[in-house]
Amino acid sequence: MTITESGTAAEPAREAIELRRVSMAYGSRTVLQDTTLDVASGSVVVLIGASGSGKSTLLRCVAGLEQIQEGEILIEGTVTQRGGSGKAEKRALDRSSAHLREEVGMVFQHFNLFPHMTALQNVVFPQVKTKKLSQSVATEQAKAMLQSVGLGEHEGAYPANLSGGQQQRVAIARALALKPRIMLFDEATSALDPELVGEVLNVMRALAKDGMTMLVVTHEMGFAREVADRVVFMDGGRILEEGKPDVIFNNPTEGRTREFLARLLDH
Amino acid sequence: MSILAVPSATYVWDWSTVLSVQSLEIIGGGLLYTLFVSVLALVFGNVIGLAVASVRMSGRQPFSGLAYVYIEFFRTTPALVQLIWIFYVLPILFNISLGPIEAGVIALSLNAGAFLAEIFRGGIQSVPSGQRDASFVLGLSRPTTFWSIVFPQAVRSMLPATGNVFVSLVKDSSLLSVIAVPELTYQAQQLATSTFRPLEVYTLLAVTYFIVAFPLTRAVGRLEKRLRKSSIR
Repeated sequence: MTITESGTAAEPAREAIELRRVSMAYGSRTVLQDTTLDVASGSVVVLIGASGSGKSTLLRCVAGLEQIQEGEILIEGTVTQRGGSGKAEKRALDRSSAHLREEVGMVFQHFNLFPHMTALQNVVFPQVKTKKLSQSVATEQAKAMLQSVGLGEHEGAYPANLSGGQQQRVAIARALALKPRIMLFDEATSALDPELVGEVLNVMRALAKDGMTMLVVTHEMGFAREVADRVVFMDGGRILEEGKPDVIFNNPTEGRTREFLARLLDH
Repeated sequence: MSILAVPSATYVWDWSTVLSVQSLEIIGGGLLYTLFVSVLALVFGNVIGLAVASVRMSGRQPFSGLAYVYIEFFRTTPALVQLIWIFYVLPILFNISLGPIEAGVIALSLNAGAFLAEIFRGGIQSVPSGQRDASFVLGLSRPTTFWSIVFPQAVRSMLPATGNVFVSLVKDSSLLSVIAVPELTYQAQQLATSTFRPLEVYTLLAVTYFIVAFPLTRAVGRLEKRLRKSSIR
């Protein structure tokens, strides 16, 4: 993976996500520090690191859920956020990048399904509101989508009556129904009972095989090793090391990476 | 002590005049007023409560501060004092004329609105932030996020408290008897004077309030249970 020259406007879609020297803080607490990262279209990048290392915040910044203070974030070559921009510039950026928000889907640790809607309604509702699809077209697509994550029989169930693994698969179906080109996974399996992790990882694996661009925060090192094109190790709000899974897991250069991986294996 | 006990022990209850058609019509008329005033105050109170809660949560000064002052003022002064002030003082200050029913509805609405504003605020803030995050990444607009995602969930947690406000309204509307609104309590007072049967009349009055309010508290409880079953984590 080579870092492309910035501003290569000729091929704007080669890098799906670009972070350029991004810094972000909650009040006085710095969470991301001078972070630069590229995610090529169609690739799977897995972020690893201890909790509090800034992985989830990085994802939330890409999704537009957090405002960065310094640097730039680009989605498919278009700037979506620029640190230090004033109100007017921010509004202009929001407008010029609004269509890109639909290209980015996100799955959360705690699923965040809408509890007052059935599984089917959860998948139908955003399609109708965001994509302006008719109820019948949206319903048809939602059913197909739920089928593809193995939940065709549970479309009428409310989230409270589904297992964690099933809820997370509904959440994935809900995101995919909007046909995003980029998917962000924020510890999608961390809240699941161990026996339910596999069913969600299987869906993610299939998605990666289909060529979806994925930026994944996970503690599932087996998944990272198997699916990732590139593994990024974060520590204290910085990217300390990145490379092919083989290299990161078998032969990391940084002492902190070795420590982190050793601690994981202890468990 | 025994002196007090004597009359009740020897009191001869006579329900014939109180339970006559004519008397019951008076009480029934009062009950209609009570329900009318309570429902109006609940509707206006909800509108006021929602508006004040959203202004308060916006954090925009000075509106947020004013909302806070309103809420705290109406929660810390007696409803009876608010009613009397609105009926006697407000018309003079603003040179308007207010009938007893208007003044009564305004006072009860403002009072309920203050409590409902806090209930709304608590309800809306109780919806996990993840719901807004998910709505955002799914591209939902802010109004859609509020009305279709946050509000329906907030209502669930607000429902019991809102039901209690309505029960309180039905009971507090008895205060309007002070400014001669012909609601239940006022009608009962009239009846007590004309029939010379205050014990029977006031007993009937208490039972009537109970008969109205008890099903309300039960209905709220049932609705709450049903909503909880259909969803929520």
